[in-house]
Amino acid sequence: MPDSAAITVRNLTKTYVLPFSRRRVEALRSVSLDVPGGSTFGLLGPNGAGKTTFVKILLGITRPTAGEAYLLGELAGDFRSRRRVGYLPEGGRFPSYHTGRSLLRLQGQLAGLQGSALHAGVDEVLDLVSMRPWQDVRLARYSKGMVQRIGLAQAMLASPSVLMLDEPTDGVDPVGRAEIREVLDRLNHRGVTIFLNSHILAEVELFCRDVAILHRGRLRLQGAVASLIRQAGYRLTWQPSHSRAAPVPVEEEFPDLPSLNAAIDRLRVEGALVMKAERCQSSLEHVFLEAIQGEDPSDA
Amino acid sequence: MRDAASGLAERPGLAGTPARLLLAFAALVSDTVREAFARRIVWGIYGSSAFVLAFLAFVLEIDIVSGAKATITLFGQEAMSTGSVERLNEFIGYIQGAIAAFLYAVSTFIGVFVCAGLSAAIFEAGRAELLLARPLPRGLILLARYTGSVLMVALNVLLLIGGSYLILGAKSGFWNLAFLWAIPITCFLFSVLMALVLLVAVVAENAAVAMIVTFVAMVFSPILAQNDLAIRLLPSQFARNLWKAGYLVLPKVYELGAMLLTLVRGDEVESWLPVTSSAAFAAAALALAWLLFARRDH
Repeated sequence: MPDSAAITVRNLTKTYVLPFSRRRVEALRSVSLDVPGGSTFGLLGPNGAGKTTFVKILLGITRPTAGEAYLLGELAGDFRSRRRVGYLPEGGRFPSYHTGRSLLRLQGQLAGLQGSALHAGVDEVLDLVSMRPWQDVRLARYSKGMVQRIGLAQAMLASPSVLMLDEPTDGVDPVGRAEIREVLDRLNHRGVTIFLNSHILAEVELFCRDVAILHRGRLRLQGAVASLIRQAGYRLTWQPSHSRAAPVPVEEEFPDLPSLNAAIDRLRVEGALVMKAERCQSSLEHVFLEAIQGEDPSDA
Repeated sequence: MRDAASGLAERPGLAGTPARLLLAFAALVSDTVREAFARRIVWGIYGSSAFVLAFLAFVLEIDIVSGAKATITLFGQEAMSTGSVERLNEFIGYIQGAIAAFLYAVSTFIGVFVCAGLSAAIFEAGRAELLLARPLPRGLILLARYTGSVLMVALNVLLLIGGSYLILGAKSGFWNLAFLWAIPITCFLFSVLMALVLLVAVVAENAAVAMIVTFVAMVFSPILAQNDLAIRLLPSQFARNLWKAGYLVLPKVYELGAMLLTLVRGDEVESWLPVTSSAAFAAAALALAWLLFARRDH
């Protein structure tokens, strides 16, 4: 197990047995993964890929069927491993009888804070998520975005070394999203590992340095975002000259400049009309779709 | 001061784990009581208790003439005139018995109704994860819910029994200490039933199921209590053994109620078996709930 890893999992497997039908659902299949300390890591995958199960095993909410998981060097599942971890679940249901401040006080006490440390901690995270003006309003009157901000605040409360966030900007408006990204960015610059569980690819692409893609419980791809989307190419749009029907533009992609130029030369000789030549870069969405559409014989 | 790892201001938690766990336990108990009081029905329970106390304090008047003749008036009208203070004390004893019996039945019934919801609430998706992701043993979370629920009902019992004891004592001069038995017995019964509520809530993760199973146990108690008659009437040995097992295992709601009235009257209790067997049931139910909750995937 690498010393510097915030999260380490080896051959992590989780099989749910459905009651009554006894049908087995393999949520995770021998997943091995390292998340370096201080990184911004995005776990991607379509619905049902096993992302939430992965996070729940790390936090001891669900137990693995096989394999090992370590959180900050401690075996996941032991409650002591969660001392330096903040967590925002997807669709977190915060009791609506609390005000923002009272909820944070409770969460702080559960994390072991008390007295002036608790008071200062609550003030600090309320400021970080810009919720100080609504701190004494009951959660029942909060908008979805405000609840999400308070959720983020409770995750940050106990000075975590790892923040595990499940769809953290769900329901937050674009301005709020940018603010949350800024807060997370600041924390990351100070050394906090940010583990983002999301299916909003654009957000992951903007924020995360490393990603892993899960599909049907299996790890399909892992790497730095920059290297995954670097595969640049060229796209040429042209129109055939002797088309009988209304001319339909044709798009063609080329891996490098020489092949692009050769194609342009050929098209000119043929009398075609070259409309556009542009550099293209694969997006994370492209990488994601390719990864989950790839054949895996064991999926069958 | 900044924490090197997180960059957030360093916030040292309590150094010792037991102290930290105790603080978290207290916070969870207090949160349970807070959640209970966020429900209107709990204010209804406490409001009813306050109404009974106000009735005793302002509507019931007791005039004792020369320490011999006592007149009881309700809404200013003479309701009863006793020939002696002994008769008055007997009458006060009846009132106290009625309050104790009413509270025993109604308070536990409503308490189960409210606390089944409170217990199941922590298993709700999105809320369970928040609690379980905290650095706390799962059993502690469950125990805190249990303690908070029992505390919420116990406070009401204390208010009503303690308040009516003081009011009736001050008005009649009859300080029937035996009436205070209603406090521990009613709280004990509720804590036994609450253990069953919690066990079913852990298994079914559903408030309605927890409530129904507990109410069935309450309703079956007086039937199971007819042990001698049932053993004579049941046709097979298997059925008789089944009945006996049910009687021995399930909480003895009926017998505890009878014991309460005996104690409030100041009489001797013949057997404390209903207390010990009900306590054993509660301990077993709690231990099982703890074990299941600790092993459950969420």
